[in-house]
Amino acid sequence: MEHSPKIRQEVIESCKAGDKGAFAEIVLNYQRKVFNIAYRMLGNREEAKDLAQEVFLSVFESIRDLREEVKFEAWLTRITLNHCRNRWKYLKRRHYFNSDSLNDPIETEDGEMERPIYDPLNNPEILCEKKMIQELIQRGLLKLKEDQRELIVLRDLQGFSYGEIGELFSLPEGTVKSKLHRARMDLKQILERVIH
Amino acid sequence: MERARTMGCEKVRGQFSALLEGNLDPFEEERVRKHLETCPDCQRDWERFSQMVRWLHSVEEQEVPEGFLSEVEKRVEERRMKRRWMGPGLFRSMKIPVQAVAMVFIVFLALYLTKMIPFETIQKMPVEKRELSSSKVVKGKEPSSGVKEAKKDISLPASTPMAQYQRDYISETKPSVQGEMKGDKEVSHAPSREKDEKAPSPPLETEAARVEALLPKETGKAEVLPPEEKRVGERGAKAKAYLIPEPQREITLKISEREGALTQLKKLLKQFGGEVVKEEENSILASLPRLAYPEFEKELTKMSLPPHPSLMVKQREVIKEWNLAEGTKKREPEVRREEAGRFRMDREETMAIRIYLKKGPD
Repeated sequence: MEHSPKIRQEVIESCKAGDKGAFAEIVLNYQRKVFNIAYRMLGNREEAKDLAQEVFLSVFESIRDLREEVKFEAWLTRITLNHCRNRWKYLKRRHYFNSDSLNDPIETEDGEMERPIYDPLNNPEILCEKKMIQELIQRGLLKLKEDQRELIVLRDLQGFSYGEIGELFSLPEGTVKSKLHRARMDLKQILERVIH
Repeated sequence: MERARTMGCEKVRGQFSALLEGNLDPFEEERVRKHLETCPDCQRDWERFSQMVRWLHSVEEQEVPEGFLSEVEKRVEERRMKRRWMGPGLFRSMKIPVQAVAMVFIVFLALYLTKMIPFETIQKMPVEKRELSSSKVVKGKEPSSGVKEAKKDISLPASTPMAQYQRDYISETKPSVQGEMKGDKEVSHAPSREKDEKAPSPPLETEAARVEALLPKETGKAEVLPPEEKRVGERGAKAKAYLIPEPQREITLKISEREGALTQLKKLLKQFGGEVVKEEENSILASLPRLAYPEFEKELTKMSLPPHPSLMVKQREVIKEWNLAEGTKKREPEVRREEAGRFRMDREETMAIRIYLKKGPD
């Protein structure tokens, strides 16, 4: 898990002033992070791409309202999560996730493939099929409640600290810890239910 | 014992995340690890849990699709162009809530509907009024303000769409109204005639002749019309009855004795299908079928003290126009107008007659 390198404050200020070059720099710096959060939250590359672009459009339009440049990353993450929540609602209304089962074919960068029937938790020899496991986890994530998914994505996939997460959700660290543990246990149950 | 063990298991499982991240103090960590050594269920759970978290941590990041930045820049440019077309940000910044728009719509709808209602009530009025008036005639009391309200409803300004609609509506029902339309033309000259009210009234024969000239047209058409058309015609006539003022007959009858003359008069009215609506000291307000009026008039002449021709009939413009807006005090003619209007609502085929009773020969 790589953290996006912190962008210089001057770049943010230039972007505020309407500098397109500065905006491009911001996009290049954070596109990976935004796209990956979106992908883990929605489970679809196309949706994630579209959403990530929307996020950067929002950034471009509202960066002037950002008062503390230091908190740019937290601000960007909040925008991303808000967009994800809205898109999730939108897709759910259109029954986008209804047919989604853990046994459905899985979408990867190389296209769709059949899901193998195996117990990765007890078969270490198959664990080399890293991709499979990742996709299985992705499906499991989508079965979680939205707030639980957010916590796991931010903490376990994006490597946010408890403090950062607490600041994002305005929650004390202790609450974040207990909520995250609950989310992990639920994800474990989901995966067990599918595998066994 | 088993229960205590289970409780311990739940507590231990609640510590998995902390154990994994090394957030437990040494004493607590020792306790948890000891439990895991002795409890195979918790041990299996712990293994699965830690493995899953490891997988989560090992999840690789997805590569951003190619051309992401250029697409973002393109969209930014599109958005900018769109804004330019939409004009200055003045209206964009004005966010009108949907509820407010809906409220405005409802208000306009309500206003529109309330404008529509008067015409509907006019349409329904004849039926309701017939019942009302019949009960009131029995009681011999003044009718309620229902008639006045009806008049108010009628007093729509001629320029309103409703008035236009009413005119169209009447013109559609020509057959049965045609005769009345002629009367309208006369009515339109009413102001000048009312001014000349003090002037000697026209002789009975000429007036009666004019009334008779009008009557056959109406009756003839009513008989020829097929039932369907007749209904339409009646509807039109009803609508028109409230829109177009009608004249009221006024007759002065010279009598020797009031009570006797009154009884005789009632009998005569009954004979011709009419009825007394209101008795006053010196006058009677009666309703009479329009068709029976000429015959009734002849019989009435015989009743008069010098049997002929002291009977004075004059056709007066009773309701010239529905002028309710001005004047708070009602003068006598206005009261009469209301009564006559009430009559018309009872039945279109009846007419109002006011008979003044004068004692002794002049």
